[in-house]
Amino acid sequence: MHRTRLYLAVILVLLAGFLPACTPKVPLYNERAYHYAIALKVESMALMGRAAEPFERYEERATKLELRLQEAYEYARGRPHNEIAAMQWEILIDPEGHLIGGFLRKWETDTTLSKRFLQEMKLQVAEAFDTISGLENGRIKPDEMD
Amino acid sequence: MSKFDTFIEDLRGEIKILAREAGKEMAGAALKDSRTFIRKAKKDLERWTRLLAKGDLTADEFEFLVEAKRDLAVMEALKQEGLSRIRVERFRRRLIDLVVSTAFRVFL
Repeated sequence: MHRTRLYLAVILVLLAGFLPACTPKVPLYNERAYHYAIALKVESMALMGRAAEPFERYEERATKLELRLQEAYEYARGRPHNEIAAMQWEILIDPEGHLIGGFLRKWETDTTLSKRFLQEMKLQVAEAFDTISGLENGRIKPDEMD
Repeated sequence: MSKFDTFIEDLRGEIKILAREAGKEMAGAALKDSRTFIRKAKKDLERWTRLLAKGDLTADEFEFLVEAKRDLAVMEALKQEGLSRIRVERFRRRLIDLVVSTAFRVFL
């Protein structure tokens, strides 16, 4: 019995030493992060649908959207061990890129965009947002920890 | 057989099962997602090529869409990397639970 308790104690001490060294290097599911991805996808789709009209009519809306996208990016960047999601947001909102950031820049430069082009771009941008929400949704949820 | 030997034997068997299940899960999910992405990308590129030939897209728009697809591919790859890390973390947690529960079952 004494030896049994000794073995158990050794195992639990080893585990206690093992656990902190292996603290999760992945963030847990975060409702706010998920909401950012979903809400900003909806806002982006709505605004992109207007891109056949002159940009100046929607400039204020575009600026507000850009600020909200930046906010989502900064939130992702601020979470520990969240560099992957932060990189996703960075690519998505980059005005030099070719997703929502680049699309808004192109709309401003070209004034109007063709309906066919904006329809095709909406599909790509929607899928891009889905990669972010898909990753967030795949994270370990708090109730899995119980 | 001492209790410690029983513990090691039991644990070995359980870990094999856990590792096999986790391995299948990791390989299956990533492969399925990759195939879906490639299939969609191929369809999109074929459609854009047809639209370009018809004059429904300009060369500039076509190029922009192709670049968008490239950016999207990077985002998809990042998602897969992130999900892969999450699966490893889930496996680690299940392993710890397994060690603790086996220890309590054998020794108490």
